[in-house]
Amino acid sequence: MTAGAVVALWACNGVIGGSGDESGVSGDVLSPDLAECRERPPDPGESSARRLTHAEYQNTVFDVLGVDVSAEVAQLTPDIRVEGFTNNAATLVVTGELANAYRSLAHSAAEKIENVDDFVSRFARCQDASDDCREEFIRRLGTKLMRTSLEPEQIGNFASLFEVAEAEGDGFTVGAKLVVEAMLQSAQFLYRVENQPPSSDAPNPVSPHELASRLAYLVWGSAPDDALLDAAMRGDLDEPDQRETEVVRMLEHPRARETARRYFADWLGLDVLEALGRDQNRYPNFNRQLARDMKEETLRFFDHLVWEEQGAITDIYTRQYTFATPALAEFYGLPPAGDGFQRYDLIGVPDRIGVLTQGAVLATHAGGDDPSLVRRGLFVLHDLLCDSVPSPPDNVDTTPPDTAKGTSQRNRSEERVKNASCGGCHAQFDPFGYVFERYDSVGAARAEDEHGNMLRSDGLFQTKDGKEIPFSDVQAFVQTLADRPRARTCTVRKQVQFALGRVLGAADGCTLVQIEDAVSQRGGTYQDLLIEIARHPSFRLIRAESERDN
Amino acid sequence: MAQRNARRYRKVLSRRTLLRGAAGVTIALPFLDEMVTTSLFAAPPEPPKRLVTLFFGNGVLPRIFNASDALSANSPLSPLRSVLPKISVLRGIDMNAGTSHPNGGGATFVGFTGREGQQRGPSIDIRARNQLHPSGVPTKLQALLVASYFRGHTPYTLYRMTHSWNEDGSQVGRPIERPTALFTELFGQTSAPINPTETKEGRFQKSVLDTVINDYRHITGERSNLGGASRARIANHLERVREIERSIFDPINPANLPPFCRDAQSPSDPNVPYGVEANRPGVEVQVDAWTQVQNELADLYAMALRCDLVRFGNLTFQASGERVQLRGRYNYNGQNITFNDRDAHHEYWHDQIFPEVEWHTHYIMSQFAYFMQQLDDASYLDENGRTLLDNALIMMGAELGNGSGVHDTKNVFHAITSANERFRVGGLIDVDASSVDVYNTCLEALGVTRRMGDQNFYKGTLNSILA
Repeated sequence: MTAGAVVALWACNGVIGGSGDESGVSGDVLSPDLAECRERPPDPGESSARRLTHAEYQNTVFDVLGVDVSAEVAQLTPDIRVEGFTNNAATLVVTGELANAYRSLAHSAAEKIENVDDFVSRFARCQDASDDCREEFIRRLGTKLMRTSLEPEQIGNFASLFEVAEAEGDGFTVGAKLVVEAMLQSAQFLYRVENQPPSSDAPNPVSPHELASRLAYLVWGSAPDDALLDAAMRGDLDEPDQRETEVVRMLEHPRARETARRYFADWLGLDVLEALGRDQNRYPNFNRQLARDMKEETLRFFDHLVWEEQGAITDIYTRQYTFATPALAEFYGLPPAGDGFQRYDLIGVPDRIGVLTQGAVLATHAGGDDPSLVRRGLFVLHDLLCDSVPSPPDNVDTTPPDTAKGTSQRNRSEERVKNASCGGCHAQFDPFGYVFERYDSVGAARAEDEHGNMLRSDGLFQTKDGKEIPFSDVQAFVQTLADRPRARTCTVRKQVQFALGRVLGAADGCTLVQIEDAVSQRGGTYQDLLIEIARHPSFRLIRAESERDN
Repeated sequence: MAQRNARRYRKVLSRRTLLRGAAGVTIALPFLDEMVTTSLFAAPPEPPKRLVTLFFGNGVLPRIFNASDALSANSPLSPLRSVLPKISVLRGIDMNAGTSHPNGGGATFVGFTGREGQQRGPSIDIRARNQLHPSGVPTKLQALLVASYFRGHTPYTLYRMTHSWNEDGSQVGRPIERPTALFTELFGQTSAPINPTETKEGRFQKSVLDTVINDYRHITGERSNLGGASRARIANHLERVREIERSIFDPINPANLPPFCRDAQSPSDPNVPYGVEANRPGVEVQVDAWTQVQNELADLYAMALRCDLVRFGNLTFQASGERVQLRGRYNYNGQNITFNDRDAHHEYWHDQIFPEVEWHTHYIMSQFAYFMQQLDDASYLDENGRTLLDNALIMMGAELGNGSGVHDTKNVFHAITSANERFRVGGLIDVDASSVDVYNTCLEALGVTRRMGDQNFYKGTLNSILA
């Protein structure tokens, strides 16, 4: 067993990658000089058509058609989390299975429209067999559902379905349902499609429909409402202040809270929690219900911070309260305060402070039955500080070190950190794991490991400029973390990545530092970030995709 | 190991009895007239070119793979002996892909290491398909991706799971994991075939799909304002929609089908956890149940090739960095062993618990040998009188040369079939070349002229593997 073993073990697990890190953030290219950026034109980066996530699909169908397809959507194979989020355009592919499910869902949704006459009257002033009535229905429904202004050829294509219905002796409403069914399978419904400029020259403004859609999916994860579309068509979203006004309005809608929850769960990787397998002999109290409670605890905590307190995102690390069921309270050693989720004050509770000491985060990033110091440390480095470390060298033995009586994970780590060939990287993230050694693999507090080794939670927080800030316990650690500029920068990068639905690249650097600068002057809340993302000049621009040819 | 499904599709039962799913659901047989007439019964002068890649995670122990008796009866690779006259095991392949499971997993069958959810080029199955059939393959499916594995909850998950990539580096799709889902993909809807001229419902459904397809064509057509990646993504979706259309509305007359294609019977889904994440310590499965899943997937994949439903794709048993925890008794080269309850395959490698690694290797080779045996069934011959295993290019590969120490991508296990006497078969070949050389030599032999992979590692045709 060598001191450097774990370096490559984790490369083996893909956490330290030679070709990039999870967030896609690769250091300096995303942090250009702010003053220099003022001289550069806004760059929206390169984006491509992105399939709606399952949540966006469900929201859009409900908001436009008034039809709830949540039960059917829950049966779909989940979107996978890659590069930190489940909404990565490059990975939202459509299998035959999904395409078939879309077909069934489209038929089901059209059939579920309760009062078709009323529905049709929302989009057409008449329901006779005239071309005008049909065209009006298709055009206005397409604007909402497909989020674009349909071209004449497309209108003619959808109108043929009215003719099919008519040939069968059916009226307007039957044809209208067929149109709904077809539109729900169209590319412009299932994807966020934007027309691109013809070359890779200067970026162009997106169309009014596209701008409204960008705002709607940013804040709501759903299609734009009439007010937003009207504002876009009037040109009232062209200026940053106008977009801010709309975002502020939209934040009052319940959809904004749902989208915030999805972002937060995705960022912290919480969707795997219920599927975590843990040895029931070692963790008899950990079950699916407790895992659900843990996830809901973290999301309620986030809800409260974002919507009630309107605190900065980095306050998630230091807030001294939580929300727990009686079972979860007992798990934490807190006297249950009542049925269901109740708020618990954590002042004076040494082991619990902020999101990082919640069961959901501790269990999700433990890495197995034996909680991994390295895994938890890398979670902090990658997901909370948006930093990365290079791939280990080829000749490193990757065998994981054993622990034993007298040798804890921390002891192994300290050897590693001192080792000249390992410490350069491990010193950057192992100490983050020290602070979590006093939590087992499901997040319960513990004073010693399975060998009886007493566990410590003190350490040194290494900053990017080489300073070492000592922390004595988890309370001091989270405060240090929350105070780091890197942590604030990372909240911006993560939220921008989620907003764009793609991995960030060098072209996004100026956008990021400018948004961060603006957000820092507001307070750094979730809402501030959405507003500044929407206000940024690049938000209304699109650049041509480069053609790939290998 | 279990052979229980080897003859499933050749049982002679009445169509009415057979076309029922596990829940008693009648199964449609969605075959294309075009497909059957052109590929099954038109007696082509030579068999259709097929290329299927077989991926397994974590690789083969170097001391096993490098041994002079690597393919002996006592070796973990011994299951391949059952098909050895028809395959070559290639040693000395350098994938030049760095030192990790995701890096290697991304490079296997591709010759590039991908990043950021996007590959830098196509996989060999897709490059072959696209050049051999620029207007589309005359089969029901353009590609078939099937896998039996547990996903890792780590970055780069994509490269652990995916081994078929489009020309633009996007995923061809997500692999199918459940036998019942695979059956539905191959044999259509779980309802009666719809004749679009007979019922109003049928006419409506056909019209809706026609409208959808027209709209996709409009979006991806010449006047499209989409960029390359967007257009490819939506065109890929259009292909799935067209496959659905064909499966619903173009069922051939069952009487024209060979019995083994008519008699497909939906399998059950054995009781194993599907689609779950596999953090440490991994996911426990009973070896018999896991074998049943993999045999059923192999049976159906072989069936798809026999019936010419597909000619290109990938079958993956074990993801890159797989953390399956096999449990139960197993016959290892005549010795009854019991998979213990200590750890998962990936961790056995790291902990250097080599007996278990060898057992796992034997197990995974058994699964692929089983698949190849199905392809070698002499009851299903191509027009040239050879089996599918003789005629197809089946390429096995893993992601690492040594998963125990440095996790390098040197000397990475690969194996190939003869592809209708294009390649040498019958034992070990020490190629000592890059994977890019191997992949491109295979493509050249199939008549595919456009090279793939990182050309910095391309040195030329490998005569040592050619027949």
